[in-house]
Amino acid sequence: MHGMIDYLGSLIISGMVFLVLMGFYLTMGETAATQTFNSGIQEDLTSTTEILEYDLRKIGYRVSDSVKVTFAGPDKIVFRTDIDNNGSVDSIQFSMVTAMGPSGGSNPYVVNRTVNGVTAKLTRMRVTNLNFTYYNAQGAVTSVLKDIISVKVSLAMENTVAYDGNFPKAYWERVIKPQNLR
Amino acid sequence: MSGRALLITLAGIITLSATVFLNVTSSSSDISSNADGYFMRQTAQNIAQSGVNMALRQLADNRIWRTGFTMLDVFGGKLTVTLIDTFFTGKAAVKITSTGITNYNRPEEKRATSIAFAQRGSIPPTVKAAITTNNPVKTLGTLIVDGRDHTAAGSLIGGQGTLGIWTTQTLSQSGSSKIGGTYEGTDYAPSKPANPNTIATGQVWPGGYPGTPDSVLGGSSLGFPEGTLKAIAQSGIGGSQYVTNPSLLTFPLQGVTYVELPSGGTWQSMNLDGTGILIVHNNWKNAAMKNLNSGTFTGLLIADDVIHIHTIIIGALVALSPNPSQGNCIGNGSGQVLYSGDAILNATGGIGSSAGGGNGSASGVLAWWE
Repeated sequence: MHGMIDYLGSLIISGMVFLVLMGFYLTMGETAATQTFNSGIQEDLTSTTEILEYDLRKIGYRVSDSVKVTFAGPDKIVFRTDIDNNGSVDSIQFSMVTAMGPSGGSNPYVVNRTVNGVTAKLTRMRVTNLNFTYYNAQGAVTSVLKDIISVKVSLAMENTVAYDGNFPKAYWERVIKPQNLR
Repeated sequence: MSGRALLITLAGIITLSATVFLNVTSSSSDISSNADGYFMRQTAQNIAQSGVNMALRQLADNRIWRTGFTMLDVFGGKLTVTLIDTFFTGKAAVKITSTGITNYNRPEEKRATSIAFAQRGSIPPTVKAAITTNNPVKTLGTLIVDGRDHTAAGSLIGGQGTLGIWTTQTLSQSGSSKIGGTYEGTDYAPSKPANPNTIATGQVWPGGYPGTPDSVLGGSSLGFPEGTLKAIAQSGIGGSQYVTNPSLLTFPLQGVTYVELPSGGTWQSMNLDGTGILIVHNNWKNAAMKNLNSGTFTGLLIADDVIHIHTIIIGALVALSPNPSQGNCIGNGSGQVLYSGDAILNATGGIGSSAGGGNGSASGVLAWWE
């Protein structure tokens, strides 16, 4: 009798422990997967923004005339600079364009970087928003090319692979004040 | 459950847990590492930018400063700044290279470099005296022409000035006017008659006396092809102004002020308050400034013809016309022309920059790579 009770008790307790452990492992597994996806999108965001910042900081370098930004759109910017510091001025464009190939997620866009007509895709993950806002010396939003002193860039991306129906997302925003515009 | 089975189960649980935790921790470390790396790169960038600004501040106080900084502690990182004299797009410049370092000497070390080209001021070779002219010069009244060096504020600096008056033609010193200067390191206070060591007459300019403002600053060889100064004035850089009617000028003058008068035109009885480079010139070399009555001008004054200085000019005056139409009397009142190398360096060092007073966030910066 006592043995039966012991066995029953052990069964119940081990069952409860087993359920707790299963729940724990499921949660940890979900966390691990989410972390992995977040890490991936963060890496892509970091590398993309590093290039964006590097180039935008150099707007107008070695450009002698007053118009250094030649196109200022909400999702596209074209500007002049000597990006490779070789003495000749280059034209650089950043724009958000429709991604080619299989689509998925909420918005199938990517960010392209074009230097003197040669285009390269910057992002591996999917871009949901690329926005440029332009400011004059008084801090007011402007669309007059020669008045642009600073540029606010915002970039939102999401992973191309969903986990549990959700696409991990990341967002970055920065105001860049190129020294050669001031 | 037997003890052995329990032990096996426990071992399995521990192994699985360790694997999951390792996976989570690794991902978290990657995320943290990304964020940390981004922050450190930005901090290094900020240190580098600060280094350039610190160097520009030093140059503003002392234009011959080239010492730089070596491994200076800034914002929790290290800063190194070097300066060299060079040319940028044909203009004499000081190249400032600033390197910011975070996590110095560690595996996570991040470095960023910013480079700025600051325009290097120079004293044009055409400035041979406090007053340099291509015509006969007459001084009257109590005009003082002092070729000894002065600060931009007008304080005397001993032993490093230049001549009082240099002309290709003749000099007539009359009234109570006084002329002084520095010759071979010896200062001669303004006097009447002027010490012969402080004046030079009947001079010859090899290749011909400069006939335009740009050639006064050295022409194409020193980054001033014909039309440069006029273009700078027209651009409005750093307060520069271009006018054909001097009544439209705003004061105090700064940057490059270019007054282009019609043939035979005269700018009369003006206030000269301001700094920089003031040019009064036309294609016929007969634009005249007459009765410089008030205000202190600090910098380089280049004019076809200057008549009756009654105010204070600190820097230098270069007159272009060989045949001034309104006489040769450069001063007949109580004016002063005090040579100042400092004022000329400040005037020439601040030109050639783009909007906002600098191609960069500082006046006199030609370009900034960050």
